[in-house]
Parts: sequence; structure tokens; C-alpha cells
Amino acid sequence: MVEWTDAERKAIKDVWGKLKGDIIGPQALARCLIVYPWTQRYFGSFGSLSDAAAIMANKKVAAHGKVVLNGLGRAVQSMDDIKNTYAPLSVLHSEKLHVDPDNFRLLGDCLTIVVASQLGRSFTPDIQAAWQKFLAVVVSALGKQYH
Amino acid sequence: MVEWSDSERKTIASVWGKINVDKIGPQTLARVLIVYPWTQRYFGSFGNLSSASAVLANLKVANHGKTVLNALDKAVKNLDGIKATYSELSQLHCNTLNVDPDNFRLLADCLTIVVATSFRSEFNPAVQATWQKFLSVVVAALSSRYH
Repeated sequence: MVEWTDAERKAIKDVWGKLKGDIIGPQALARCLIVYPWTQRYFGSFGSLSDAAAIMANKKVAAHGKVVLNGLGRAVQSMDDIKNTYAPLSVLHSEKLHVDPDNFRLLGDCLTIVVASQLGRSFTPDIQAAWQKFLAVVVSALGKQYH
Repeated sequence: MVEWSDSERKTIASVWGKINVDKIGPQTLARVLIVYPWTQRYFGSFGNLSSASAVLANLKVANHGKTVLNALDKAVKNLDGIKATYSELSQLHCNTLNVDPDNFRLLADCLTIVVATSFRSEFNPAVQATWQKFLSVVVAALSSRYH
């Protein structure tokens, strides 16, 4: 089981508390679709994703970005039980959505960059380390039910 | 061979032009050592790396961070010949320094995060995509002479 120090718990909750889900979620998903264009294959019904501007303006991308980030909130509230918290989501992504679990890591990376650009210098190395550890646990939990 | 659009060339030159190597280099290397602590094994002669604040205050880390980031200049000035440009550095890291090439990607990731914390909203998705493409070419070139 994952062990969290008090400092890590605080860092993760502090970062989470500063994130505006309605802004951060859409930005992270948009970046994923722009920087890793193959991920667009999962969003065939979303309309125009033809260039960066189209993706950033796309309302379905924005709405789905919020959904994804709200999902992350559950892990923040349940840091000692992330694996079980995400078991049904993991099954969903594997069996219905057929998402390559590598993409969870890519989305996590894009989220980290959005967080870094929002927090600036206050995203210190210590905080980065705790945040990346948290995302690694989330990514692992989302891949756990794949078979 | 890697193809660069005019817009990508412009973006890379512009980002590089705004990077203060003396500040960004040390921050980047420090983050690698803090976020991925196993990388400290390559710096046994650097003195105290026992905590994040020790790493951040360590002058040898700072100097070496500048050295590493200055070396990126050669790639920026030679976008069409990055592989050849880094051929010797690749051999050095493989044969003499025995660095696991996975670590180049980790350093590139930390550099991207430091750039995001410095440039904030200017580091928009299109810029991020180009910058990450550039760094992945650099990472591939540094790995290219490994055997």
C-alpha cells in the first residue's frame, strides 16, 4: 500500500485546493490532444479537433476536461484507497472505452505542466515530487483492472 | 530525418532566447535529483544531496545544471543536425559516465516543468508541443550511440 508522509498529504491537498477545476481540466485535456495527437482517436464524436485553436475552443473537450478533473478529486479525498476508488473507472476504460493505459500517464504529464504554469514558482521541487507521486498512484490505479 | 516547420523553428528559437541558463539550468538539475532521487547516484562527488534544500543550495549541482543547459544551445543552433551534434556527448554518457539513457527523458521533463513555471500562460499548448518535440529529438540523439 502507498505510504504518504504528512508533508506529501499537505502538498497534494494544497495544490488541489488552488486548482480551478473548470479551467485546469479543460486545459489539461486540450494539451493532451494537441501535444499527443493520437489521443484524438478517442474523441471522434467531439467535432473539430483539426488544430490547436479548434481544440482549445471545442466545448465538448472543455466539458470532458472538467469531468476528468472532477474524477481526480475523488483520489485527493481518498488518498489511502486510490486503487479501490478507481477500480470501476479502470474497468470502464479497459472494457468499454478501450483506452491504451499509456495515455493516463500522458494526461498526467499534461496536467502537471498546467499546474506548473498556474502555480509558477510556488510549484517547488518538493511539491512537484509529491504531486508526481500522487499522479503515478492514480495512473497505476487506472491501469490496474486492465487485462 | 526530423522535419521542422517554420513555425516550430521560430518557436524553439523564441523559447530558447528567453531561457536564462544560469537560473533554469540549476533549477532543472535540482528538480531531477529531488523528484527522481536515484539520479543522485551519478553525483557522488557533489557533496550534500540529503534533502531538497541541500540539493537546491548545492553549488556543484548549480554549476553542473548550467553546463547541461548550455549544451542545449548546440541543438537549438543546429536543428537539422542534432543527432550528429550530440554523437560525442552520447558516447561520453554511455562509455564513460554510464548514465542510463532513461534519465535524459526525466531531465527533459523537469526542464519542461521549469519552463512552464517560468513562462506560465505563454507556454501555451502549441508551444508545449513544439518544445516537447524538440526535447524528444535531443533525448533520442543523446541515446543514439548507446550500445
